[in-house]
Amino acid sequence: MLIYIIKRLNVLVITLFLLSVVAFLLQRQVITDFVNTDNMLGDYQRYLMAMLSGDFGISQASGNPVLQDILTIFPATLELCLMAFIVSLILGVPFGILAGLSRGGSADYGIMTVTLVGVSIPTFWFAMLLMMFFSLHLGWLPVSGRMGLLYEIPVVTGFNLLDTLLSNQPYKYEAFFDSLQHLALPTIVLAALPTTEVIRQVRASIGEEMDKNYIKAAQAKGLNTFQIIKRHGLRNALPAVIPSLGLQFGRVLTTAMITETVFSWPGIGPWMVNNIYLEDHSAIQGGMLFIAAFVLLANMATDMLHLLINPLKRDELYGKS
Amino acid sequence: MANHDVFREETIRSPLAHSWYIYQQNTIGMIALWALIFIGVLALIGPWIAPYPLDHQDVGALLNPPSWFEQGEVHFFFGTDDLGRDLLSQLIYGAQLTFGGAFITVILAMLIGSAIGIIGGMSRGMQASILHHFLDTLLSIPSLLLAIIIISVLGPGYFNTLLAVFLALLPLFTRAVYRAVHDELNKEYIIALRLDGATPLRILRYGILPNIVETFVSQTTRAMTSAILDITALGFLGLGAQRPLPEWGTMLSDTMELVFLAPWTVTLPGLTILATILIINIVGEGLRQAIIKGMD
Repeated sequence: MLIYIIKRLNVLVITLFLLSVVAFLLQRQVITDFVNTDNMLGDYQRYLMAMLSGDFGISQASGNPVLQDILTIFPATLELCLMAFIVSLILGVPFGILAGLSRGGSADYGIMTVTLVGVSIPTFWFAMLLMMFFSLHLGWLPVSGRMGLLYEIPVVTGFNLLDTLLSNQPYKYEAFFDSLQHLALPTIVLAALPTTEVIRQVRASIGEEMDKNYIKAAQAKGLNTFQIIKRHGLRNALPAVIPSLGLQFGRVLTTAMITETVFSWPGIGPWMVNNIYLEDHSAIQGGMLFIAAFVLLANMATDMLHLLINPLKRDELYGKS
Repeated sequence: MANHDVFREETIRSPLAHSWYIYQQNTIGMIALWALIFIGVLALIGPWIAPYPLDHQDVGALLNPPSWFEQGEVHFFFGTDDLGRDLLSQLIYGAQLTFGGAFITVILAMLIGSAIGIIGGMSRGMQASILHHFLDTLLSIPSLLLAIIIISVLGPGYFNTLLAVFLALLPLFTRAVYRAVHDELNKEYIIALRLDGATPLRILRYGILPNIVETFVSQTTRAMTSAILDITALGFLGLGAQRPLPEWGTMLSDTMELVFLAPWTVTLPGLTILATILIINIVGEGLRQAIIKGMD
């Protein structure tokens, strides 16, 4: 296990190093017009030191340190992504089981068709459709933003749902439900992608597990389908889903950037796009390094989680299987 | 029953011809294939068959609803937008930008990416290992994020979008082909070929390539859908093609403020994108299944 962690960390460090080199060269290309130095290695060394101490430079647009800007904005994005993952698990696992049990049947066919549409639908269009229907036509849900302007909630964690509950304003529950309402549409849009992925994975692994002999033994013992799924099927099928969820994280984060733009959600997406327009290079570079590093770390973390949960995988690692 | 088969000779189709035969039995797949060809033809000759030129504005017909509405007029079949531009013409022109652009990008990425993958897959040791780990990590960053990163360097624009999507797709192909070649290379029939004294090029041509067609097909469809989604998404974010170019995603971002007034300017371009991607997915999945069956 330790050896594996070191191996993974090694790859991570090398990749981050490469990323920083690319970012450095980009910055240099932009800045060389102003500063004319030939000492590239020395420059890079100084650059790397600054990065390591968390100094991403100062945003030309806002005048704040880039890292500070990112840290105030990023929780909004993270909140959205986490909600989407929770929804995708709640929806994806039961439907995946249903599809996996009725392989080739009508339920399977229906679920897989919906899944295919879910993969094919462009995020921004889906967002606009939902907005047209639920916000403009029915008027049930707000069109944009994180919370109504009437509420004033002090920022503690950056997660709105937590902040509203933690605050001691008299209207904190109203504020909580208001921010839940604001979350609803973006979450549905964002959850579409991981949900389809969870359904596919669960369906495949349940379908595979259900043909195995221990399931037949359980059936022979007289357990009903629900018990079999709960005690045997899911336990063996779910660990296979984890790594694919981890790989989804990057895609969800990117999709979140689009969703945020549609719903004017004050997250990293609109911030990044805006900075690209403004040609604010230190902010672009900081944001890019931050997002890439975050995605890579998340992937590594899910890999580790997978290893911890699934002993079979550990054997594979050491060539025992 | 009379037997007309005078020469009792069984024709054995090649695996690929057999796969094609299997695919033809798939009705939905065939419909999707014809629809795909139709979109391809639109992308090719769109500018000649579009009812209005790209810059045509009818000041007398702003925000005309589509022809199937009561106030609609049939010579603006899909209606017009806020500047009086015919939506149908825009969508036909857009086929070239979105579908055509994605197609060319994917073909180029497939050729170059696969070449790198094959070279990596046929080699062993350090070179292959570096490629493998590097690609592994690069692939954990999704293609759209990679494209946004590249755009943030190159600056917004339609050509830059294509370039960014091309660069973002490269690792996808390289990785898949690398893996397929590598897996194939360790199988026994290849070892037999090598013992027969076949050169690497010959092994590649007659041993490996025919057996990894499935990888090519599934990767190409995946790349095609993600290229279209990425190009339209970048267009939507305002980082890709700029107005007046009628790229489908750009059209949608342009009509964002018309959602309430003129819903058709939002639904129709979106439906076009959705239909195109669905068609590609259906064709790709059908072909993949057919090839897997045909190989057995």
